[in-house]
Amino acid sequence: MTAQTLRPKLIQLAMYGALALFLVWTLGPVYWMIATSFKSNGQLTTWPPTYIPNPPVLANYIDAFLVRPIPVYFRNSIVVAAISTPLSVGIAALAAFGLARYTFRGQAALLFGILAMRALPVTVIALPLFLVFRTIGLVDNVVGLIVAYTAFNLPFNIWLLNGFFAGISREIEEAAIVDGCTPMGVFLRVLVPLAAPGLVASAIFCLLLAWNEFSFAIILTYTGQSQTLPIAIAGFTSDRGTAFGAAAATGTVAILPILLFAMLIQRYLVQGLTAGAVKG
Amino acid sequence: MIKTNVVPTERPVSRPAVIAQKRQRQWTPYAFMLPALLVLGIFIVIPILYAFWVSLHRYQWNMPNLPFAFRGLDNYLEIPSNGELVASVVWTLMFAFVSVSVEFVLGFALALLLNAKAVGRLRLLLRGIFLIPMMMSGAVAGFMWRMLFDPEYGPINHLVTLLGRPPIHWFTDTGATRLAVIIVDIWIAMPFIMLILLAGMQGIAPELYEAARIDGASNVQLLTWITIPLLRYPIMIALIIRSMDALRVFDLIFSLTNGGPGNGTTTAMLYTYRYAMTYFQMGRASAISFVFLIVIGCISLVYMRVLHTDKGL
Repeated sequence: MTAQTLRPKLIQLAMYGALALFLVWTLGPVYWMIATSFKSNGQLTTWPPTYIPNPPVLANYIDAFLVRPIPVYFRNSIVVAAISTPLSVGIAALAAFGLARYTFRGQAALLFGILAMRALPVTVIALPLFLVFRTIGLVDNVVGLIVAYTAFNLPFNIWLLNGFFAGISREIEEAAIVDGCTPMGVFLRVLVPLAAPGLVASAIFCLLLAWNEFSFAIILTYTGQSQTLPIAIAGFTSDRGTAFGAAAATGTVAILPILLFAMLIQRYLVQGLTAGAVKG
Repeated sequence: MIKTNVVPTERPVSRPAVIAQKRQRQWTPYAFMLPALLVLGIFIVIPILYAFWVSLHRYQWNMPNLPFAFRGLDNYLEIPSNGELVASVVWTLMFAFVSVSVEFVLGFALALLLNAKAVGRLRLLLRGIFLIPMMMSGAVAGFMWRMLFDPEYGPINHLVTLLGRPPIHWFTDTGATRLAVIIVDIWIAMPFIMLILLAGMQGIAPELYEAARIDGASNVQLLTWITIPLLRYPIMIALIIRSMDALRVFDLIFSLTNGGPGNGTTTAMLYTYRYAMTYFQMGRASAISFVFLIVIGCISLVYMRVLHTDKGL
């Protein structure tokens, strides 16, 4: 083999090696949590650490889901995600339609203001919201979280959908207008079906936020009546003498939807995050 | 910007119809935006204004009998003399700078790897796997790594001892704990930079590279003269978003170290949270939040300035 054919081969080998390292780095921690969730109490505290639970046991899952009240946190997470997502996407779609299809005074300033809301530190909104919610009984209440997430997701959703709507050709709409369609009719019958991928993308962002969000949740909730999964998991560790096994079981179930749908989610994640970032 | 020209329709439009259409157009956009404006106004804008009002007062919210006393700018003026707060801000800035820099270098490298022709059809699958950390909750990620860093039974210290070094005091030594926090943040956020840069790279026309190759350009030259200049905008966006997020870091710290040892890894956000929810001092907490808001705003402005004017990038 001459040097000329050897060099590209070596480069390729180095590339695959680097990719393999990145894979171990990405999946190793996830593997460790899943493996930990199947360890018996004895296997949790061995030296050297137990890399493969043998035999795998379900004791931690029984502890988390039958002994501890983890199912309640799951219910709260599901309720909050299921209600705040359609609310936020629906309201954002209406607003994005108004922004993308009409011109009016103060439009540029409004769009900038909406974008700027994304940069706010959560405490600037969550602390006063806590004070207000406290007086109207929405603290430690899933309704409070639903309202907070619906509002907090709006700026990003409007921004994302505005981009989607702006990218859709106007000809079909104009035909619909000529045939006597009202603006609401144009929105519902023409734009919503055409922008379906955009709507799915923003729904996925809302679902991920509701499932993963921490800052609002820790400020606005304090008991199992309304707390969500991330709070339950953080709660495991802030206690002294962490119940690693039960926490790992909870964490594994919490990331299960993400692991199962990663391939599906990534498409929309990419569309959503790169819509504004790459076009230039 | 949004295009607004209306293509003339085939049908002749009567004068009253045009007027009706114009009038409708004046209020229709507002009608569509009304629900969003109401929600944003009530649940974001008004709370922010209220927070500003609170920041000018002493407000011990767990004691309803204490007066809501006006303090002017005192809550702001005492910030620089609050040693613990200043220390947490310094650590937050350090954390953001180191994490974002390393994330940027690694994210760029991973994007280049994934963009290589040899990866081919595996690209989608690999990208999906690499994105997993950024799809999960920071609280779960923090907990996950807490097990890995466990000083007594964790696999990281096992690897350290296998390399013949003494076990590291994660969670009790400030320096080591800070390093752990940075490592976890890199794990969580590097995929975001990879994602944005990879999308940008895939948008670059292959003809550019072919032409440059014919002219005898080396790989390094392709990178510095084609890839990086054309990625300026995605790079700017990725750095701004990541810096803002790193400065606001909260959930990961909460579940990984809870700010310890002592206040060693207490970030500005965690400090604000404690002021508000543990010490019940809403006035002070709100003032800190606003200062923080200004700092984040300034940093994003600086980035935009630098990347817009520096033609060499």
